[in-house]
Amino acid sequence: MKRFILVLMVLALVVPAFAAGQKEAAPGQIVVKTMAYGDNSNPEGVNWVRIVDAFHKANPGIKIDYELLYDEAYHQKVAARLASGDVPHLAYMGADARWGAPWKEASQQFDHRPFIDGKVFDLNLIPPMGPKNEIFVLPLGTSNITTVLYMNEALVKSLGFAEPKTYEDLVAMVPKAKAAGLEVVSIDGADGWAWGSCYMSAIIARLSGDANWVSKAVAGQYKFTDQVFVDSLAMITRMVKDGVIAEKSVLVDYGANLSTFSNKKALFVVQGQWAAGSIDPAVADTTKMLAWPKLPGEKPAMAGSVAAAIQVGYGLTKAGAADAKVRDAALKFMMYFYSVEETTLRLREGAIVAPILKNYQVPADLPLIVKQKVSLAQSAKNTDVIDAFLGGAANDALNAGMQKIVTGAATPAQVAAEVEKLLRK
Amino acid sequence: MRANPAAAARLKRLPGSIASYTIFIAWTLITLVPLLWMGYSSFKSNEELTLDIYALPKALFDNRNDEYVVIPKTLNVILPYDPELDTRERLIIESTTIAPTRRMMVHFLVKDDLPAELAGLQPGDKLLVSQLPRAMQKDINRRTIWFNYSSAWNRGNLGSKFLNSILYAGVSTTLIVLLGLMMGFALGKMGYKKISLILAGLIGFGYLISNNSVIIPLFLLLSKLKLTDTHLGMILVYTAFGLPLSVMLSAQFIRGLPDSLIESAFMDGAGYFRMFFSIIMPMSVPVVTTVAIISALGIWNEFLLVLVLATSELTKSLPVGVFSFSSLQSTQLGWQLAALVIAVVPVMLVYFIFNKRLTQGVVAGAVKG
Repeated sequence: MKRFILVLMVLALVVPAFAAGQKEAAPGQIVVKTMAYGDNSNPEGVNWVRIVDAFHKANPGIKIDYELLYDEAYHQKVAARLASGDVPHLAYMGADARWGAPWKEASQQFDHRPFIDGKVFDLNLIPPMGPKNEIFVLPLGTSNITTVLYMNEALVKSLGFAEPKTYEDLVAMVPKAKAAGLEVVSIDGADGWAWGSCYMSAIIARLSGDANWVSKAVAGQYKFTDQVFVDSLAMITRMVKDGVIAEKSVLVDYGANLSTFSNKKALFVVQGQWAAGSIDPAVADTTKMLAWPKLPGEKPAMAGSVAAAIQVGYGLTKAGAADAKVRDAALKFMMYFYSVEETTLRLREGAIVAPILKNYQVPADLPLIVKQKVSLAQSAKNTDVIDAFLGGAANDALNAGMQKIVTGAATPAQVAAEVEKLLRK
Repeated sequence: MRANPAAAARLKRLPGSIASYTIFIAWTLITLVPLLWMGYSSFKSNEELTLDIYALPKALFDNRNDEYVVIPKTLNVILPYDPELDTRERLIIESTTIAPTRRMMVHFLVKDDLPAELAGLQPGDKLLVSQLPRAMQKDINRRTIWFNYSSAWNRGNLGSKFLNSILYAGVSTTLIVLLGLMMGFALGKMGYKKISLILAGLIGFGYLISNNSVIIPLFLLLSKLKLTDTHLGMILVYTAFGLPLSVMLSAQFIRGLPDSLIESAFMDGAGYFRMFFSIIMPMSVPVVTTVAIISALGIWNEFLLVLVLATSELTKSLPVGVFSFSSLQSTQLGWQLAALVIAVVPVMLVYFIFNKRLTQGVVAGAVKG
């Protein structure tokens, strides 16, 4: 018993020691509290750690005190920290409904314009993000294309086909693909967001002929119950019925989707431009990045269009900008993070479409797939990405609704009505 | 001819025995097969796991003739040494079969230790492991086999997270058991029946509160107290969440102990603390064991609270480390499985070492409680 009490006494002494001092920086160090995006297995996370380590070495007077999280865990933590008032000084953020809303609601968006060095960044490539043309975040790159149709050209050719120009060309591939045990278009349908961001964002613009149909609908100019939106949702039913998209796609998650494509089990895969770096290098060499081919009922004005959003990046918060020393330290780190070398690496790894740096020279030896990405970004007309404008319950209902359409659990009209109802609530 | 009664009885029991054994074997398989799969899959490359998740590992073991390509020293090649302190020239090679082009399976060969024809290789040139000096082959062989484990351990910073898990589980469980037993003693043996009833009800109510429902208020509270992202904050939270069950079980168990023991001790002049430490605690080993197992396992596996309440790498625990290998963009299944094994092995070891005692404790706790 005496031993037990002794252990308790030791614990009582030791435990409080853990409570204090662990967040303390070295004397004189400026601490920049940061929320970073990435994890231990993806290039974003691995590069973040490397960059911070190198920055610390070069700038011993600054400590980037970061928390590295990914996907929903990141969004949940942002909400928790903002709600508690534990606001980071610097964070990975955007300016849209998904990536910008929490910061906007917490009144933490900070206009970077006075602090952006026009000699380093090309201001023409950074779009305005607020009502007064504010720039709340330094995007990692230019527009973020979300509706890319990746084609395994070698596989398509092996079946005797060429790059599809129309939807009917895709349908024509179905029998041979099925006979060969291949999927035609693979989509990670288990991820609700993929239906919205990577699929429907392209379809609605094509069928409506309005690149900004979604933002206008959210603003009240159109309704999600309009026939054109119902028809766009009905395209899902048609694609499943035609065998272009498999019904079982609602069971496929992001990793499985890319694996299917990397393992040459699908002719096409639907994903955002960011997935280019995750495709198996051997397959990437024979992959072409396309916009959806001409769809039935498509308006000519939107031919070959892709949905694209302002890319996310790192931005100071108002809390971070409030202290000039912290602000300057954070800006110094951002210059390091957005350096030509790091940006080129991001370009090579397929994380961005094109840099926002001034007079940037694109290296000649870029991987083929990256060159294609740049080419697609330069040639395709950009349209709204749904979840950049539609958020909350309405967006959730739309994403879940599209999955229900695939399985036959809901009709396009029912899903459209639900989205409209939730949006106007 | 009369039937043998023993044989008839055996025959009567046969269907029941078959059903019991079928269920036991099925349950054993349900428990063991995933563990076995996890164990052997943690030695598979991500490519193997993607191609066939059930196949046995091969690529990481069969590496004597693996092909490597010489790569330049670019930004995303993370050096395992300090180039300012160690200035020896190195040939950087990357596997062309395991995580190719991703700068994950990379080796840094000291050029002085290489034959001249290999030391002179340029980026883009290829070589086989079997061409290297024997010591290097051995080193690469070992590193390749343990690729998933070393990557998980180093990149996930699992060492410090492991220590944090031990600290949280150890200290919180100790506090949960001790304080729970103290409260159980008070509620079960002190003569304030009505107040005890109200207090027990309130404490029991705490058991119904789930982590998820209070996580934001909890975060706000800890922020106000400056306890977010501290070990103490985490320990207090785990202790608070673990206490209701501990108090309920302890009170119930202690109520069942004979009052005469307490009365004898009181007559002998023992105070409450003396009674508690000399009589109640030694007699409550079964319930202590039960509470300790439930609490320690729960805290060891807990994910949500530590994810939200801990910010820095210094305070996060193993479940967050395991989770940190699963991303939308490039899930490294092999690393994640290795991290899972690292997280599971200590629990299994504790179970195997204390198996008999734990089982006795749980059974005794269940019967007497």
